[in-house]
Amino acid sequence: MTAPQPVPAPNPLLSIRDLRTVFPTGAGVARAVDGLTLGVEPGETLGIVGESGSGKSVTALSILRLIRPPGRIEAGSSITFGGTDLATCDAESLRAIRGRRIGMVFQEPMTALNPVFTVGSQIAEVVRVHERTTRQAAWGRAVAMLEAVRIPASAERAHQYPHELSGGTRQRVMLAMALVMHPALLIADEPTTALDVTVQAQILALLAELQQSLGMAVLLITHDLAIIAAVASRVVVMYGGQAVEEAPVTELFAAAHHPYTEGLLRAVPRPRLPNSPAARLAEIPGSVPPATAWPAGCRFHDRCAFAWDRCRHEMPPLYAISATHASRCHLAAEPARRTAPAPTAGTPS
Amino acid sequence: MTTATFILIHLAPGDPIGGGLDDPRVSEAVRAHWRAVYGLDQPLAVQFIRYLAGVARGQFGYSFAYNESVSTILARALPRTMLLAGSALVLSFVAGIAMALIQVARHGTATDRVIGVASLAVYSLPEFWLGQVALLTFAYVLPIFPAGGMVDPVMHPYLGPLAALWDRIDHLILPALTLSALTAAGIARYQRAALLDVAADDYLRTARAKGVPERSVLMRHALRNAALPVITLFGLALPGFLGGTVFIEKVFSWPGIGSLAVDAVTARDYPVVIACAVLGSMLVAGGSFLADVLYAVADPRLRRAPGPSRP
Ligand SMILES: Nc1ncnc2c1ncn2[C@@H]1O[C@H](COP(=O)(O)OP(=O)(O)O)[C@@H](O)[C@H]1O
Ligand SMILES: [Mg+2]
Repeated sequence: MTAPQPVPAPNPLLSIRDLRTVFPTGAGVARAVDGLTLGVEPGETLGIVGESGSGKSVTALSILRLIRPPGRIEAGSSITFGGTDLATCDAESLRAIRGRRIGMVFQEPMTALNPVFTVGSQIAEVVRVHERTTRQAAWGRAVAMLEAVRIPASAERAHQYPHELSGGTRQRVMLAMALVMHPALLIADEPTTALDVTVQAQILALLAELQQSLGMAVLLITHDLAIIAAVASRVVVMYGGQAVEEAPVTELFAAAHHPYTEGLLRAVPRPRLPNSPAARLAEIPGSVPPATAWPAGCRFHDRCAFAWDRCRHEMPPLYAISATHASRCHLAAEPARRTAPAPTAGTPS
Repeated sequence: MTTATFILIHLAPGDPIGGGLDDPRVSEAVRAHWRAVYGLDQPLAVQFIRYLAGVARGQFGYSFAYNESVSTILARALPRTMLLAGSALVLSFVAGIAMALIQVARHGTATDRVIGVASLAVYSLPEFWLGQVALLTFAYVLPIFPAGGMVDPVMHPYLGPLAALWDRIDHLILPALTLSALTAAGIARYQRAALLDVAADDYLRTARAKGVPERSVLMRHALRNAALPVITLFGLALPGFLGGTVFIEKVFSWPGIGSLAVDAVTARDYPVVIACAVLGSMLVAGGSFLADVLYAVADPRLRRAPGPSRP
């Protein structure tokens, strides 16, 4: 685990303020991200963690405005990156940032690459849409980038199609594509979830190494706290489309405040022993409700062992626990209540 | 195919000698003589075997109506049909795909709906009706185009090279447009559906995340992946398209294989009818072979031997 992180600088690389992304559905409006605020400092690795359905992917897609209609980012949201508000800027300014200043890696290496083009041409395309350069020069950059992500015989591999490559190699290709323009920020949404454990470790090591050499910031999204422990310096825990806890990694693992974070920590093998054979030690009871029907008050209250009346009626604000640690839980205001029922015996109401 | 056509046409009443020499003054003896000359007095089975032997040597026999070998007649008519059908086919694909791209780029807008309704309307019209209406409208009511034929029968021999070329193009436009309208409408409907089908695919999101302009996302990434169903359509639609060519040639007096086939059926000119049918089925077979080749070009996943099955 890394050393405690400095207090966030006042001038973040990416600053998301009150992001709300909604999807009209047959069952009502899904408020997938509902008032998210976070910042990413230059060069740091910020982890976003949370169960499936908590709004992580929608957050990642919103940053580059990749939400497909009828989904939309509501007015009032702002996503500031290098002086530009990505939520409202014109399409051409946005296009110039996509792939050049911000790279993105998706979860599914099987479907995220275009099946009808060679991987080399898909990487070279990034260079060609952002720079005036010859076909050969762009191809050369693509091959060099394939080499940088440790694909052997990269010159030959560049001529292959995605279906001819393994899942791990495809994810390396995705990384090469996201990094070929040396972006200031890489957004990686569950980059290793679809891969087996050994490959997963290799890709994470590669990611850390490239981050060092390119000096970029990484926004790493995962549902796996072991990955957060291994690579992130700061972490935002998401639930119900909101940040429910935010802290430096060391502090989060040593002294999590939010009962949801405590539940996540109990639900995975100990982060210090990522290869521990022990499976899930405990599940958080219940499941993430649909984004069309978040509970009133605290969105976690019906799965929380400590919940009392206030939690059912009043949405908790992000309480400051310390200068770098915040928690969206009324226990911060009424700490005495934590002595109530034992968390492990908790049942959904 | 050959066999079916041969049997069908011989089951129909009448024969070429009856048709051509039906003047009551022609004696039965004379008819019998000509039947013997052309082998029509032989049993059907013998006629058929003889015919097959000819086809195998690339000879389709001799036309009763034209007094020429069928191969010569076909060699004259085929390039004309290729010109008409070829330009109409290219036109249908270009226009059909363009309409679909516009519709998808403006998905859900009035433009999308107007093109959709128009292509459905055209798609549901019969060719010969469309041909006759087009001819009436644009050659008689509004005489913009010539009323038929491949060239101006009077002036063409006296025209300079450029004027002669224009004369040919002028005669080609209306029949080619009419013939392509239906196919273009069909392709537009298919291509639109295929494009909307891939619209939510992950690799398009990846392309946008790379900074690829929306235009290229649609015209490069989406279109290449949405090509497969349309290539399939090409293979399936070819017989219907050739059928349409027959009607259009007849309506516009275009002297190609289609007109030849219609006239030959009327005249009971068996060798020509059968040859046209054989040629038609060869074109259809060639078309589906071409579709297979295009399939492999469009989708690299199909290039290797034990590839995944086609959708
Ligand atoms: N296109 C969409 N239409 C409707 N609902 C969506 C859409 N995308 C995401 N959602 C909803 O938003 C919520 C958050 O989804 P997501 O961000 O994918 O979660 P995570 O990545 O944390 O697993 C889920 O409830 C999901 O059903
Ligand atoms: Mg996700």
